[in-house]
Amino acid sequence: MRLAKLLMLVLLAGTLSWSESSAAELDGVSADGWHSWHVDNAEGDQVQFYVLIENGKPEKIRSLSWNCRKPTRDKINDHGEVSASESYAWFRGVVEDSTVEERVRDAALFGLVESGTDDAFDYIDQILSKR
Amino acid sequence: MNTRLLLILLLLPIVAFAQESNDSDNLKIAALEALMSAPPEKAMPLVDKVLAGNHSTEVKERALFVLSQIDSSEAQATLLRFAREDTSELQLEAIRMIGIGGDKDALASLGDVYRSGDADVRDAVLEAYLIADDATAIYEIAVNADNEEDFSNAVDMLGAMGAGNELRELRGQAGVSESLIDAYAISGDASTLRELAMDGSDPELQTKAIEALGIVGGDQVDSTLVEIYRDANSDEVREAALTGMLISGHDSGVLELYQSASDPAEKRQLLEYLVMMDSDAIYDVIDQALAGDQ
Repeated sequence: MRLAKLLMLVLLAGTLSWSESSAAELDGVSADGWHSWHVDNAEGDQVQFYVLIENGKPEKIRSLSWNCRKPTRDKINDHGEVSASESYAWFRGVVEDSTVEERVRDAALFGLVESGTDDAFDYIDQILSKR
Repeated sequence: MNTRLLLILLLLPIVAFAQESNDSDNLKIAALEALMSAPPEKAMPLVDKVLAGNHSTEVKERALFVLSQIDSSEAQATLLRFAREDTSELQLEAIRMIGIGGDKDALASLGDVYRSGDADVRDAVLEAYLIADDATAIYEIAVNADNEEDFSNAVDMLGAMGAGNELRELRGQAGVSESLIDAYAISGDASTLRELAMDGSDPELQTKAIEALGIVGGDQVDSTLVEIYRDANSDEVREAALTGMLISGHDSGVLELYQSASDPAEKRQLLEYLVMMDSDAIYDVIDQALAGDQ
């Protein structure tokens, strides 16, 4: 019985984990082309991000405050509003991907900070605390 | 195992560590720069932590730069603390960063840092004022300088900034000096130099001012130099005017003087100057000599 309950829990956890990742808006940000999304960060500021993917890797990362954003063009895959934590996680993935060019990873650090989550600042703290 | 191989094996970990350390510093610097886009209250604790921690000078210098870009009194206070209390290269960097930040109160506080600092600190403060384009602060330093070197350094800086008003004001406050004349030349103040060039009360400064006119150059200055040469009542003034024309490259003026001169020694000297100037006018002189009309 205990084993069955445990199995149920494991299955449930797996389902939750799958449903969370499948619901992630930024999963599609790996197809070549321009992608865009915006976040409403902890400071109450809205930031719009633009990312160009080439050969499956981020090539350009740009961010604009919400007031400066331009209307999304047809060729941009607009992912709409994304949670700050998901945006942070996406940028962190770029920072930690050693196959991405250093200048792009540096730009991803800006995106990570601009996502504005506490996790983002903890992560910056971790980088700065390395010996 | 031969010695070279042993040496390579011994050095490899050191090279690898240096590379790793360099990569780590680059990442830290990028992370610090990213904090410039964060709210001050989020960025400040992290930057402070870096400045208090055990990091390379390069990383800490970048932390000071980030502080200069953070719009908060706390960031300025930290920069000032480093500018006042640190004794390493970071002190000089903090001073320069106050210049880059351009905060008026912090810039004003650099006056005390200048007065209590050594030569390197004083130079850094002048640089900060140069970066912040604060000619008034440098003028105050020059006026209150108690030695020629400090005065001269401040005046040089004003010259580089093209601070004509402050430099002219200094003439009234401190009198004319060689460093002031150099600064007039660098700032392109031909009218003040012309006044000094016409003033024979101090022959040494007068000749210096005449030569400095050549640095400013231009049609009006060229005409003035020819006029000074013609009206000169001493060899020194005449020679200074020639040097001024040499510096400004006014060979047509020297040719004009050559053609109107009658004294053979003077003609020879003018000809020498044309040669020094590598002037094509020399061919006109040769043509005229061959035609026999000098």
